[in-house]
Amino acid sequence: MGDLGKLGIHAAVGVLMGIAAIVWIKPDNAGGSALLIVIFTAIAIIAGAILNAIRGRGQ
Amino acid sequence: MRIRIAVLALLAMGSGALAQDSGVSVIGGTGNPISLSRVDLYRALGDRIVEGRDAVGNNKLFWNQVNPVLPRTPIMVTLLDAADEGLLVGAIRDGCLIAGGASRPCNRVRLRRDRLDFDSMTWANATAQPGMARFEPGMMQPALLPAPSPPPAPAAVPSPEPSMSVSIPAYIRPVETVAIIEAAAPSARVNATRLFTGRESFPPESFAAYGIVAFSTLATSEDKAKYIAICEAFFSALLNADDVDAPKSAQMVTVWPVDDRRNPDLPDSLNTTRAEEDSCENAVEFYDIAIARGAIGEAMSTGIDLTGRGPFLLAWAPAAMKGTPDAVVLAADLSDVKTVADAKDVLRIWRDDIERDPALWQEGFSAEKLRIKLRQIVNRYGDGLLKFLGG
Repeated sequence: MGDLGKLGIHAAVGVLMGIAAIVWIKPDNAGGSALLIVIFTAIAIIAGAILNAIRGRGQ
Repeated sequence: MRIRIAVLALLAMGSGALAQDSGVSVIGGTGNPISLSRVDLYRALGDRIVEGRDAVGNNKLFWNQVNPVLPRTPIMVTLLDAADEGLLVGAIRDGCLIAGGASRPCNRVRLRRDRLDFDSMTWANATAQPGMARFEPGMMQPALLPAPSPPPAPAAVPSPEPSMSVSIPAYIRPVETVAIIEAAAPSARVNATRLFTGRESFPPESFAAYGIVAFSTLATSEDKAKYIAICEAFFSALLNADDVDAPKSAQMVTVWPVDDRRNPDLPDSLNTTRAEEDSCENAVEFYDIAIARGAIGEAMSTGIDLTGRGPFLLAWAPAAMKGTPDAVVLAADLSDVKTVADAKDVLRIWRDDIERDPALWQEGFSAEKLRIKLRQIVNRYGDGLLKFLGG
């Protein structure tokens, strides 16, 4: 549950970053907006997982 | 800011006169005459649309593009007396100022003469049809009636005083006087312009620098829409070289090469008209691919990577350096452009780049360029994602 909770936080951060990107880039279609949310969510989850792994090794 | 406050204050007085004061009435969809505001008149008949201190060509074709309440018929206004042309220009320039344009570019707005009908007999003999329009000076609001202005001429550097007395309404004149005098100071900046040239007149001479819209292939039935979109943006984002109030030596002209061997009048007709329904059809159909391929080859010889599908915008500064390996080349890739809006974005950046110091061309990165490029990418692949997800 703890790992899932962290995943959820990372995903939420990714969604927020995606929304910020939508505001800045202003895509012309809904597909473009969806693509930004997907990309940023994926990046945030992957980056979070890497950070967690690095922290785990350090402890 | 003070201008806008003055205009807003006037609007707040709620007289309603401002909305109905241009003297032009259009027959509406139900046969009722609709009086045009000066702002609507400017958007319909002004040859350019001023945005702050900048301007783009006006390519509106139908009345409903000016105001949704007007019918979807081609913009055409009957001028009952040719001597009234000056009044009409004055009303258009007032509309430009009221719409928030800066005084100097507004005072350069001219009539779209291709949207004027000087044959008053046509109006007198015809039954009222939706979209028919005429200019009646007597219908103009007296309080805002500007003094008659002479037909606009392509003066090299307009003196501020005549412009003020011609077309600036009294209620904002004191503020504008200061603005015009400040704006009239000579500027050393390069103006980005456009030109359609035939094979004989290529390359264009006496310009400070020149560029080219370079397609690597001719249009096919599949990609013709993209070519036309780029052509329409070319009309819209850049001003015709003859319409700019600057000598050729201060212009960086971007050329659309036209094969005029079978149609010698085509370049002139494209340069003197606005973006009409068939202008871009002709410009694309008679595109001179030989000139374009030569330009792409010369740009690649300087080490620029042009491996995309294109088209490309290429420019050399100074123009005489074209073809030499150490020439400074400005290049933009339009491979991801699909719509007129995409093309306008790229051409807007192109214009801004040109109007910067050419010495900075090679430092071509900016957040705005990144944003436009990202937008093109997400637009391109976003549709595919939605289809994949079943949307």
